[in-house]
Amino acid sequence: MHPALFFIFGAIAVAGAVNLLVQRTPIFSALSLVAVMGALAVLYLLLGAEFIAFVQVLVYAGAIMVLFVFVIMLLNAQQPESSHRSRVARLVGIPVVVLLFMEVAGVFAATYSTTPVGFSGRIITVQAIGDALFHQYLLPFEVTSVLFLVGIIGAVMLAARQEPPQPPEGRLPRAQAAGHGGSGPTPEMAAALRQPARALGGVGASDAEPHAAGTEVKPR
Amino acid sequence: MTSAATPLVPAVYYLRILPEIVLTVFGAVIMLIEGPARHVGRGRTTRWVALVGALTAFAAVWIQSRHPGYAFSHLFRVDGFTVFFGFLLTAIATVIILMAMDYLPQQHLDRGEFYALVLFGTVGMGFMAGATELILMFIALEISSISTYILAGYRRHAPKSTEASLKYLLLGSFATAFFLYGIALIYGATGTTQISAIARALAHPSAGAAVQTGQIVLLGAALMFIGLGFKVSAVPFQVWTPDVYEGAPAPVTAFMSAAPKAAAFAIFLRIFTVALAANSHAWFWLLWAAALLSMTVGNVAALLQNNFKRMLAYSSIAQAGYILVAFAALGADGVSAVMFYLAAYAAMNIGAFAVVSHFAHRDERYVDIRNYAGLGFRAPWPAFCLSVFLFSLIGVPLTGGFFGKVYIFRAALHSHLVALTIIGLLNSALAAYYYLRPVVAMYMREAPVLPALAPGAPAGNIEPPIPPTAMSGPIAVVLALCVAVVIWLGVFPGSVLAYALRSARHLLHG
Repeated sequence: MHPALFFIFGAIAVAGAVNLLVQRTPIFSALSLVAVMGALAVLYLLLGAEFIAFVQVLVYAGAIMVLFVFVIMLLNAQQPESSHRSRVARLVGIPVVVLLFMEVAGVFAATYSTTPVGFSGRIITVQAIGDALFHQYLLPFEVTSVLFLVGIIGAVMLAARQEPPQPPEGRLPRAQAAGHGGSGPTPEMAAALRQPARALGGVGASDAEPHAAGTEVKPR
Repeated sequence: MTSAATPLVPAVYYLRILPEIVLTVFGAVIMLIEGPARHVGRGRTTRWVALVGALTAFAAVWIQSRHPGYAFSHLFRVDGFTVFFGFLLTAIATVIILMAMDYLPQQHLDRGEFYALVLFGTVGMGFMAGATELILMFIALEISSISTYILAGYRRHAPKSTEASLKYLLLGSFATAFFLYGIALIYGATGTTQISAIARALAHPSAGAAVQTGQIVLLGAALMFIGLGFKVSAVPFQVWTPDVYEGAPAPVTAFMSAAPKAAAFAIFLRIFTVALAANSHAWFWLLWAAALLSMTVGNVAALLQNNFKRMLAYSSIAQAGYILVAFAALGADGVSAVMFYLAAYAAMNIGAFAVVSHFAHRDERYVDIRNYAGLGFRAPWPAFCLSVFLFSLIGVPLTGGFFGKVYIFRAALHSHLVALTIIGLLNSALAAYYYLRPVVAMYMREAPVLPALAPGAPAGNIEPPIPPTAMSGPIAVVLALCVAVVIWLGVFPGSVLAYALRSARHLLHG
């Protein structure tokens, strides 16, 4: 579309990608990847794929890169583990790189043309996507919100600060934790086991005969 | 594609997805009142809201059944098939909520999220039952799966529960990815994700692209088979089942063994018998092999289990095998046998898990079959109910399990699957051994006198008997309901089978 813009952003993308590889600090590599993603988004925009451009910025440059940066920060990876003595990397890596480059070059040579490409024929606008989303695919779109809600509940529930389940009397769990690994219920255990029955407010009576049980559960 | 032109959604569309709307609203209400409700009425409000929600949804299925037809641009269809599964799933949710009312306070885990997740999971399963389009199916499957992943890890202080949740999440995500890849390939081959349109495209392939498309469709079908085979725990995709069933809280295990499995079979049936019907010759043998392996591996492995939940896990693999036999029989006979068996299986399996959940006690200490020694005399009613459920799982006459198996093997014989039928019958005989073990323990073994008093006695060799347990109201209702359904299906199977047969015809012939 605009050759000058294409070359500028193409150059930024390539420079970012090269910088990504040569940087030694992971965080700089991650930031160069952001530059690559942003430049690619502009290239998509130049091709007329506006929606893909926006999604590229939102999803890749936004969400996924933030995740990368978080992981790098959390792992506190200042300097990468040096691997330049690795012979496997050289023996396998270099031939694979050469092979991939030859493949790309081959495809490029076979399909090379100077006519500009674009989605001019069937341009996919945000409007078209919105139309599909809110008309034909309205139901899946809405149902997805339930999916996200479930995901959020799960994340909060599983990640929230864990409070150990506490029976009403505070001394029971400690006595239980200190208890021996014997196979029979100790008096504390037996008392703890009766708790739920009491907590239920005595809905329904015990269906087991208390006398028979009393003789079997020996410790009492 | 009717609504693409009209911007307004007709009101009848909402009636057609009414059960799902009701469940979503009640789930959201539970989450909203969860905080304040903890301080009001001793924190019991949420469970009653959940129970009312599940019962309302059950009633809403009836309203839904009055309005058959497509909704939302042919993405969802209300037909006999949808309604059958709607009743089954909302009934399961109701029973599970009742079961949790007994179990969660016992474990000191009584929080509202549990009930909300059960309701949301049921939303997903309801959409799975009625979806006639692959994208909606996928999203619904994800809702149901993610709810169950979370519920499996609900006993957070128990390492086994966390292990179950993590294993289920990781393996389940892989299975979902397979399913999604299958959808993508089918879309690539046919250019549509609508079930009926796929069926049309495959029945009349355009002459030129036929060969190449055929291979892509087969690959897509195989990938979807893997994804769904995982969800119904068919061999060889069953490895997760015992660990997850053992680690998950007992009511969740009951839920997982009945509801998501039924819903997964619903989309399994819709995809394979409707969308891919033209290619049945290709995937039939996959089904045949999976049925054979599931029955045999499940039953043989179950023989070796001492943990009640693990035993029932292997039993559920075997039961999935029987259902796959009916599936392989195809036709309205086979499909209706699948549906009938799913209903009977839900009642008997949930009943069995309800007894296990009731006697599990704090931290699920008593889940070994040897714990049940002498229980028949100390807790006669639960022991009687458990015996009924186990007899039904064996397939003894006068129980739902008997007619379930009769219909399955009849359908299989009609379709000339003689080898599969014989192996299935042999397997049923084999299964009687492990299903009878708890019965024998309950009625023919004395509860061991505990050596715990003797200092330095070797621990762990003798399983302690289950201590006396107060029977709570909800669990009594659950057991009564399950026994009633099992006996009813065993004595008067006709009406349910007739309904299933009609629904199957709806499904197959549009």
